[in-house]
Amino acid sequence: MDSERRDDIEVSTRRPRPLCGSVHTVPKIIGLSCIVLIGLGCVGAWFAIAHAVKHQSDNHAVDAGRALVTFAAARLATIEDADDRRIENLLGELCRDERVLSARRLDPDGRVAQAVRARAAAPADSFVVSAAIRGSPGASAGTLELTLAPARPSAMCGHLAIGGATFIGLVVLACGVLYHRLRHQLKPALAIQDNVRSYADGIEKQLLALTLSDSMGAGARAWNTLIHEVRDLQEHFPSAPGGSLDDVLQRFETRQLREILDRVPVGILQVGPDQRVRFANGTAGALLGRPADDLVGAPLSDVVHDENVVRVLAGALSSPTLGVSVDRIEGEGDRERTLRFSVPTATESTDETLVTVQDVSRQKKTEKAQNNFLHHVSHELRAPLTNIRAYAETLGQDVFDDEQTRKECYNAISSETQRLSKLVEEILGIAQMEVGSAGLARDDVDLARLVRQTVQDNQGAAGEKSIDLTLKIAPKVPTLLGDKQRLVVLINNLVCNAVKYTPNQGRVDVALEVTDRTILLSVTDTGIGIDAADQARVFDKFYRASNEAVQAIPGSGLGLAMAREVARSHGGHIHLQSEPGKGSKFVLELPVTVGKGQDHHAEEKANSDR
Amino acid sequence: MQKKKRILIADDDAHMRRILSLWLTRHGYEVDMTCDGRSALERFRAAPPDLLLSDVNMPGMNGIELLREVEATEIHIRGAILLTNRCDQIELKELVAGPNVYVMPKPFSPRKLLELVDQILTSQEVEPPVPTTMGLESR
Repeated sequence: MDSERRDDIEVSTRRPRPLCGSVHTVPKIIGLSCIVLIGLGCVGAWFAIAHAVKHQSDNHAVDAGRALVTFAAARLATIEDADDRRIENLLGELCRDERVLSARRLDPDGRVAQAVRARAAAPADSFVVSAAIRGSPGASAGTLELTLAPARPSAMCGHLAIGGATFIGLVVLACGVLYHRLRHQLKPALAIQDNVRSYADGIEKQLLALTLSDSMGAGARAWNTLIHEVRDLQEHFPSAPGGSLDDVLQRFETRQLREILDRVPVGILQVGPDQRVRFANGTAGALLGRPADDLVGAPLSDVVHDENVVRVLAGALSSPTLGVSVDRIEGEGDRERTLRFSVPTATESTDETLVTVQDVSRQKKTEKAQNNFLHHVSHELRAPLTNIRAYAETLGQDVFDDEQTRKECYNAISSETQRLSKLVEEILGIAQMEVGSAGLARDDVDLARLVRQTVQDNQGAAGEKSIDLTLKIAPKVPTLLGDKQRLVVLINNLVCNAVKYTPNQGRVDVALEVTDRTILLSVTDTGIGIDAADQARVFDKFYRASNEAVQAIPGSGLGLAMAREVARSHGGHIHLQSEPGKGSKFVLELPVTVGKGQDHHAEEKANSDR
Repeated sequence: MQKKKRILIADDDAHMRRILSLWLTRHGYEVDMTCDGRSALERFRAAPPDLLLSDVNMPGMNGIELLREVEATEIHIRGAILLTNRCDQIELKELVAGPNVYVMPKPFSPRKLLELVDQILTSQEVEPPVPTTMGLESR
């Protein structure tokens, strides 16, 4: 975060007033009460223990006093003739004991005979023990009375007091620290809770006023980051400053929708009644060669650059219930492209109308190719048809009623009918091929056998022209998965062409080779060859080289086109090497596909077919 | 007796050449045949015919190019008929527009063609015939 942003926080940091005080004070009171209760419990426990200890030591002192007085009385009894001096000595001796405060002897009448005092005054809790003196007759009799000091607290008692006090102190301290820590931890959470509530209730409108002091810890800092992100989002939409969280979310959704619109492959322009662009998606920008933001606000004529298109679109915009579509062709040669502007039919009239822009160049190209194909087909079909019709009409004329002419007509009709049916077959075949590989059969094809058969079939034609047609097949040609009928057509077209375009006494060599991944069928001839300019086009439908040598040989121009389609549908292709006047070499390359032996699925299919 | 009218035929299709010559010779015309535009032009220069009957679609020089070359020679002929199996005859007519150039769409009836040839070569004022329809329906 930069320093400026940090300043913002400092300036705007102010604690919001809690909306509801009890929410915070209740946990505080509970926390403090717990500490007090724990403290009181500890003190009470200490008092109880101290009392018990004192009581025990008091009892102990009384017992000791009694033992002392009994022992002293016994000694007094041994003093004969009640020798007062000796008695006083004994009492003095007794008083030397630290526990004894005073000692006195009472005569049997209860008067004090002798008394010795150890200390000036006896404390209030001092106690008196007495014992009767029973000596031999004539000896001193009476009662010995000792005043004893109260039991002194023992050392253990002192330790207990210090330990207890320390323990209580520690517990209270720990509770205090715990409470403080908890309070510190909860502070940002509670503050955030306050802020969210005040924002939700609309009391606080400014997002930045909701930031917290960074000193409140990680939670507060995370909250501040969130606040700033939301503020940044708001700034993306300067038209509506501030706003509730709903607005922010709505604008976020709008931005997402825009991103989606930008990815639609159709250019979309929203045009207002003033014929100015109000919205343009990214695709429209790309197609019209200007950033989408530049398009917004521009008049339609500036965007389209074509008066005719603008006129048509303007018409559609004024009555949007009529859909319209108009093409604009731009560029030349290879860079020519067609943009199609459409106004989709609107169900109800609105202020704003959508105009879509599409690059239909490819579509146009396909249409053109299709038209060309149709044109060629009709053209090619008309030639034999014209002949058939002309010869048939001739047969019906009386003028030509001679045997020779009739025979000639029959022959012409017959050969032209054959030509026509072959053409139809080829056209259908190629159309079928172009539909795709959907109708392609998947049989196990023994290519070696097919090639051998095809070469045999063409031996007759080769023999007529004294052409040496040879065949070389590599051992172990793998079985192919493919369409047998179409592969036959392919191979036959290659071999037949080679024979057809090779002059008499030439040679045609057919070879089938196998590499790791491909099967190569090469057909090499010593024929007329193909000009470099024509090489690229010989595979085009209906294309025939325009030189006289080629035109002298009948052909539809479909054979190689068909061969290429078949090769493609089997994942292969055909190469061509040729030198005019010397010969051509066509190489068919087919990928080795797994035959039934190895192919699990094919086997399954075969089983289910049975 | 009037000298036989000469017609120069240019078509790459042997069957077509044969049937045209069959009909025209049987009806008293002299026919000269070539199989492409270039040889037709040579023949035209060597011996200008009364009428040129040419296919449009030929290898090398096509019928339209041949017609242009023929016009460039400034040798007067009575007329020219272009045989076309193209669909765009209207466009073609604009391309070769001339008072005595006619377009005959394939497939055509040889009888109709003969009538047109007769019309061009016998009458002094030739009404430009309008090929009725295209394709099979023209009888």
